[in-house]
Amino acid sequence: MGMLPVLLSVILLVGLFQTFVSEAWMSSLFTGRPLSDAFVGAVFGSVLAGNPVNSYVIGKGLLEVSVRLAGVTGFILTWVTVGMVQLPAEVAALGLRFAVIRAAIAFALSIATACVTPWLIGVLL
Amino acid sequence: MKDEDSKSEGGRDTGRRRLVRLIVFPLVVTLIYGLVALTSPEQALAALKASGRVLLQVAPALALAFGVMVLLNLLVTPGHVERFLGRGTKAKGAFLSTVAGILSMGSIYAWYPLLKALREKGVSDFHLANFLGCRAVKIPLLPVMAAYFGWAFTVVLSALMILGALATGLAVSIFGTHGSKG
Repeated sequence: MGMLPVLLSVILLVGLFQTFVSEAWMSSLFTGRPLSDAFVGAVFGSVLAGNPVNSYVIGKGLLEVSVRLAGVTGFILTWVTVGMVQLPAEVAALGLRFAVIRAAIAFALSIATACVTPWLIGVLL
Repeated sequence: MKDEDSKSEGGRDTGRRRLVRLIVFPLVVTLIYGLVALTSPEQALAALKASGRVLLQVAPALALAFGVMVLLNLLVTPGHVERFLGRGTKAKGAFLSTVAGILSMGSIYAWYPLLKALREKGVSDFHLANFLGCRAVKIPLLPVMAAYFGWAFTVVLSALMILGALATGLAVSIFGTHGSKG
């Protein structure tokens, strides 16, 4: 029950992000280089939050404006594995060290996975 | 006597620090909303409405999680948890936390209090991090992902997410609080 104020604050923060970050502004930051796109995608996915389906919708929108698959994959991955917005709630529940290490490793692995995924799909198909 | 005094003072300090930690973040968020409301009241209102929608989505799962916590405290002993998801459980425990993460539903906010309670019962950091990572794979959402990006992308990404969750769990257990792996 002690976590409730933190959880409510996190939800309020999610509302702020959903209001202020637009898809058009996001797509302008992708450069076309796989590694840098994966990084930019991962940064956006980390700070945004919500239902994973929203990340698919935004991801599809980014693909349609010619953002590379690596960038979209980084975005979708960190949306569900990192979550900077909910980090305070994770810290309150599981401790600062656990939350920061988990988020940092998930972020780094997401970039690596985002770079590998298009190549793997190419190999398999 | 001196020892008892210093112990109770230490407990008070820890309690005070915990209280400060729990209050600071809500205060910062309230301050941000205050600033946004001053500069752009309609954006602040839109953000509050968006938050309300998120809260409505989360509320049922949160209520369910608190119910499960009550049951957990009544029925599950640290011995049970240690046997299935404790620090010595290796492959069986990894499999269980992977399946639990994939099958877990609802918002992550609802799961944190439950994970905290499980950790207090003895679940290792490896399993907690693996569970959180595997939550990224959502079976009911796989057809949706496939409809947007194709089945090849969905299968490859899901497999990599499970491997990534295990790797994250391993790294957290090595560098994290307890320093032992599952």
